[in-house]
Amino acid sequence: MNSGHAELRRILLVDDEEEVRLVAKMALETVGGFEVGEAASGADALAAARSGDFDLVLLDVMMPAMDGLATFDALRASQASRDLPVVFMTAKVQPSEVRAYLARGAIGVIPKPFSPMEVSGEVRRLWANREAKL
Amino acid sequence: VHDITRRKALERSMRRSEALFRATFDQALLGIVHTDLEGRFIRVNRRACEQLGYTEDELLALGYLEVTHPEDLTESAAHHQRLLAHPKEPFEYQVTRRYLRKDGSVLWALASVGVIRDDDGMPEFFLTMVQDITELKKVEEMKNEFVSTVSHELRSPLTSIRGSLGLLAGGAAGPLPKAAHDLAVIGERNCERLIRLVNDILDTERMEAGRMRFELQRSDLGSLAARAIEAMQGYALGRKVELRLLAPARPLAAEVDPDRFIQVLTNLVSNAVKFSPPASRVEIAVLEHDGNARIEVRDHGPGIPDEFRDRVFQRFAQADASSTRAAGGTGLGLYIAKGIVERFGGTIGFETAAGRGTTFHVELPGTTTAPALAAPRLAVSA
Repeated sequence: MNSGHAELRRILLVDDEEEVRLVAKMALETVGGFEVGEAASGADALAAARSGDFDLVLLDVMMPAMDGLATFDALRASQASRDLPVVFMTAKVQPSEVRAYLARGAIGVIPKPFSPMEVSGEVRRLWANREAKL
Repeated sequence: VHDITRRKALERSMRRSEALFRATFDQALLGIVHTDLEGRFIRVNRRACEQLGYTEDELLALGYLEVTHPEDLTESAAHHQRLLAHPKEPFEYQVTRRYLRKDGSVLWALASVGVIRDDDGMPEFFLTMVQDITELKKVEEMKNEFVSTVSHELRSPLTSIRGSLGLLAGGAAGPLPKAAHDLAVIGERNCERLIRLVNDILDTERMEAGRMRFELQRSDLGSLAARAIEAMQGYALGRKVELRLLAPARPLAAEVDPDRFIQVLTNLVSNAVKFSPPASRVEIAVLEHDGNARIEVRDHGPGIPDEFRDRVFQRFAQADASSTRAAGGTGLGLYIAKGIVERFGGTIGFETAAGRGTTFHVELPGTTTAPALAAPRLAVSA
């Protein structure tokens, strides 16, 4: 269950590519000072979200089996993760795609390739904006 | 006797004319159908039957309602209404339209529709010529899918490369010896350039395929310019160039896609900074000019060489390949900027003077009324 920390602390990183996870995790931990949990698939993400006490999900779109959009819908459908804020981190960022993510309820989109030194600040900014929106 | 001879000659001539029409109608590579004003087919040629998969008798028992794709009926009906409302006005149009074959599959067609009139000039029936472009559509879709896949396949490894080099160069993986740090910085910089190149190639492809989507909305150009400048500030600082915005006395609006407008300005400013000497200034002015909005981006660089001036807006055009490469350009920025500005119904051009600098200007039509506020920005990082 999302504990709703006053501050953004724990991030669930969902990406099927191990090296992308490695790089993103290091960027978020060393530059951003976040605690990062990893999931390699949509199914893993659902399980992790149920038990992990996360504040935010960084979600890839192009994944085998269950893609990011399906994962997003499943997260929303589950009691444990229904209010968990989601940021899509994806290479699929045509304007129409970005609008679709936001319309679905994502709090933001970070295009890949992301800047490792700036991604933490960007996540923090999206988190803050989402707080402001509520 | 005279009359009979003349009548026979006339009949012969009419038969010949009819035979000519028949042969042309039947052998045409285009599907040709004649449709009465109620939408029933009255004549169909062989090719039309082949295209739709019906025999001639089957097709003649149908009308355009049965063979036109439901989603394209509205557009087709609108033309029909126009003809009924103004029967004596010229009527002819070309359109890409989908038809349905007998087996239910879709026939993509380029259709040319006109009308045959009676002696009083009133419409008698429609004449439609149909070119099958189904294969062309398939190839186009495959190409789009290919470009989209390539883009994703390129971005995935670039994500890891940019991330790794960025963390190394940024010191996040621990301190590096100076030489190693310098190498990481070179790698990172060139990785970023490759990313810009992939993005620009994708934009170019989309633009040329007419698939670059635009959401035109009345936007305040001054605040969009401020956002473009903000996005370029880091790059300008790195090259010791000052960016200055000269905003208009009162808000100035035009119909643009805000993100694409910012892309145009970003390309122009990036270009201006690239050719600016250190400690110089790039001025971005938003002003009113003959009832149009005009945006100027002025640098104090060396100016554009004479021999290059007519190629400035071409793809991969570079006045001096080595300097562009050193500055990290893609050679597509101005080409894309021109394409976008033209989609806004505007124009782009430049004035340049050797040793004094260059001013690029964009003119956008119809800007004198009070502006709406620019739409809130999408939550996407730069």
